[in-house]
Amino acid sequence: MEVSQFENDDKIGVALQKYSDTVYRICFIYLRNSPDIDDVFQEVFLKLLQKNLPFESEDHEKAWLIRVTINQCKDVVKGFWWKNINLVENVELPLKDSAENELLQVVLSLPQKYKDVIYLYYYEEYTVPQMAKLLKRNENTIYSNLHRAKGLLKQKLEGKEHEYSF
Amino acid sequence: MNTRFKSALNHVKANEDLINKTEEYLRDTLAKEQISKMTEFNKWRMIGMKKFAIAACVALLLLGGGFKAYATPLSYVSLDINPSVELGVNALGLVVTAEGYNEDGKAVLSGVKATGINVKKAVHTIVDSAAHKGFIENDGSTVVSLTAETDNDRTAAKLKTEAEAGADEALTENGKSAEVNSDNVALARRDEARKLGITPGKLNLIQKLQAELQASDPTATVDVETYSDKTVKAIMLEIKEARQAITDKGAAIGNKDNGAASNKDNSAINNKDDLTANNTNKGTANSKANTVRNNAGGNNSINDSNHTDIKQ
Repeated sequence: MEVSQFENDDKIGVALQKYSDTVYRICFIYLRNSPDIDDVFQEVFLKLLQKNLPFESEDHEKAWLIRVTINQCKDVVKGFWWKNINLVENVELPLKDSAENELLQVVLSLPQKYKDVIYLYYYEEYTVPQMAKLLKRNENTIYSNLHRAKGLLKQKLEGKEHEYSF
Repeated sequence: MNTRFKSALNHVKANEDLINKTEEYLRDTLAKEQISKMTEFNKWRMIGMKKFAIAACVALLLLGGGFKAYATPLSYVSLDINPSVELGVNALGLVVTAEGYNEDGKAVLSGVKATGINVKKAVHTIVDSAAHKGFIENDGSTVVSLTAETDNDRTAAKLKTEAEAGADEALTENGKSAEVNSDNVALARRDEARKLGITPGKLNLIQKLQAELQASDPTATVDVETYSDKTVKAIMLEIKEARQAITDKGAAIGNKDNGAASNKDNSAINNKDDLTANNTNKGTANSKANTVRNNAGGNNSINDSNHTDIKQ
């Protein structure tokens, strides 16, 4: 119960250093607009430190964080503000490369369930069973989502898919 | 796709500003939380202490109540020789108060402990003390009057038996003999007696005397004060004399209906040294006495179940 101030500060620093980019990316994929990202970002880390869960490994901790971030983002997206008032304006992407920019814009324009799998599959390099476990979905659902996501990407990239190996 | 996507996303990074802001926020929130956790812990401890305090109070109250119940006399036994003493008896049959009603009574009680024990032992102790202090004469003429003051008949009987047993034992042990006379009165009578500063037992006797006197002479009045300092023996003697006067009168008038009983009564009263239980008497004397009591008014609480024994 008693956690010293020093210990706490240490934990905050370590957690932020390790996971800030991961969490931020998920937030970015889901939310794009910055005020909500900041909120979710802070909430996720607060949860991590508040719960102080005994993780089996770093992968476990990371998976937990991804799960929590996705849930948190979904909550925001589900909210009244997001649905009715928030006008999704595309954030300026910090990319110089136009091809990368285009790819990212396409991914961001995908429906939520496809963004999940694309991110987890291509960026975090999770396997389908791992994704199924993390997203609490049937493996076959993940397979078909992934398949459809790829199809959508191809379609949206309009023939430029040859530039990428799907 | 793989590398492209990765490199594209790699450009997406949490900026320093956000990280610093978050770090600050987390530090603040967690510190506050720790404090609130501490206060919560303290709060629970406080609640625990409060609970304990309440429990202690309740326990004290219960104990106090228990003690109060223990220390409150429900009935009284008054013992008159002339030292007049009144014992308060609680619900458990233990003597909790002992009070001397006059100087002699206080003298008898000094140096003896009559509380915290049962009635029998307490009466034993007091009679013993009275015997040692010379309040009981050697010739057996002393009268010990025991009066149970309670509204409950069963308690009255029990108190009387116990007190008598205690007095008898003490007398025997001291080689003394005395007339032990027991009676019981209602608690209401006690207040009346208290006002006059005498024990209810003595008041009872004085009222009996008054009744007897009025039986022969309806205009006769008894001044309570003149009798309050007299010994029980003296009052008893007067009662007997008065009673005899009535009996004589009654004998003179003659009783056709109940002659035998009347005679029995007469002989019993005439024989002062061997007066046996006369609580069953149905003679003229008694019926007359009753009439007079009724006439006297307000004296109905005099208990008629009294009996007189002479202990040798």
